[in-house]
Amino acid sequence: MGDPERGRVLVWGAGAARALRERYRVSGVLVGAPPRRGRGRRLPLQLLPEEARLLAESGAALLLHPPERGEGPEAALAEVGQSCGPTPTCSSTAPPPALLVQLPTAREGPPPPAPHPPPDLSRPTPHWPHGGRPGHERRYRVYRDLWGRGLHLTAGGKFGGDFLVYPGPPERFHAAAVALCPPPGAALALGALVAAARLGTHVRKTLLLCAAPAGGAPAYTSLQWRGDL
Amino acid sequence: MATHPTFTEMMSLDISDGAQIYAAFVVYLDLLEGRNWYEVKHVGVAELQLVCLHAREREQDSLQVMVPVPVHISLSHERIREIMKKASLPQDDPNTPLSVTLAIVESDSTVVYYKMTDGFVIPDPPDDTEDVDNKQWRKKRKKLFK
Repeated sequence: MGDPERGRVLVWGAGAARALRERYRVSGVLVGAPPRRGRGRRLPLQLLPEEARLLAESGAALLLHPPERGEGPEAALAEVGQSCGPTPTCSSTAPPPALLVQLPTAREGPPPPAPHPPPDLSRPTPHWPHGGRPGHERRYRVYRDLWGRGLHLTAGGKFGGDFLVYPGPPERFHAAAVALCPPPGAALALGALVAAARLGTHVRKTLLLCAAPAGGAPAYTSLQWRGDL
Repeated sequence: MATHPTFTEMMSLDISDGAQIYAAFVVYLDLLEGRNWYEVKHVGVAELQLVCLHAREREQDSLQVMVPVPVHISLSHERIREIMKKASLPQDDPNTPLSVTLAIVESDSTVVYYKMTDGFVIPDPPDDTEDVDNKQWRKKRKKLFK
């Protein structure tokens, strides 16, 4: 848990990163060092735990444990009992200690059914410390619900929220909302809400309070500054 | 202030939170006197222990619900939703989402208004807003350079 590298989910293949974006509305963030100063970031693509879990639970992708030092990625594949087959794996170079995503990028059409029963990602493991964490579980239920409505979501750290919500692909649209997923019953200081909603209004984003209780119906409340008053 | 008839009436409602009643009175004055609204009525909502205001800017406008709150309090998302459900007025069109305006009152009587709506409201398209912004900015600039 103390190792910040643990629980990171990385995608190393350019085709896989593209397929995630185009087919599954999952953007991730490029975290590789730029080739030269001033250039953009490059692969690998790091996924939010919520993005990775959605892909894994829906059977769209496999999360693989990283190989131990000295082993190739094949060892990791063997470890989960999955052969590469005709589909390329997303790991090609020696990866850092993080989970890897395997995605059948060669195939078109709807995602194939999961070859295994989907992993139980609601429990923590050494490589998946997010499972069972209240913050992750809460955010995941909100992520899954909003994603299921056809929206695009990315990390919301830029605007102090949990997610940014886009009505279309993030590379073509501005985000329409900053989503906050407060713990149930948590007291929200009005001063902080004013700050968040006012910032949101000035960058043309609604502040969206999200609650998706386990087993309950999700509830969303939009907060917007009334510029007319 | 203590002798203002509206404040006396607000005090006589069955609401125990003095700070909230004070906030309601500040918002009442802000709308009626400061912004010259046509009508502002106070309504005690015992279930929420809040004094709310039903107000309209012009005679032909429909009533808006204002929920005055002092800035120092905290609200949970659940409480916000409870306020929205119990304080909002019934709409003619059942598809209209529930909506009330939170009027947050600072200790120096500054009031900021925030609209709370059930569900996901997408902000206005940027083109319109930009246009309005530019017009306002031109007006301001004219004033400044006069």
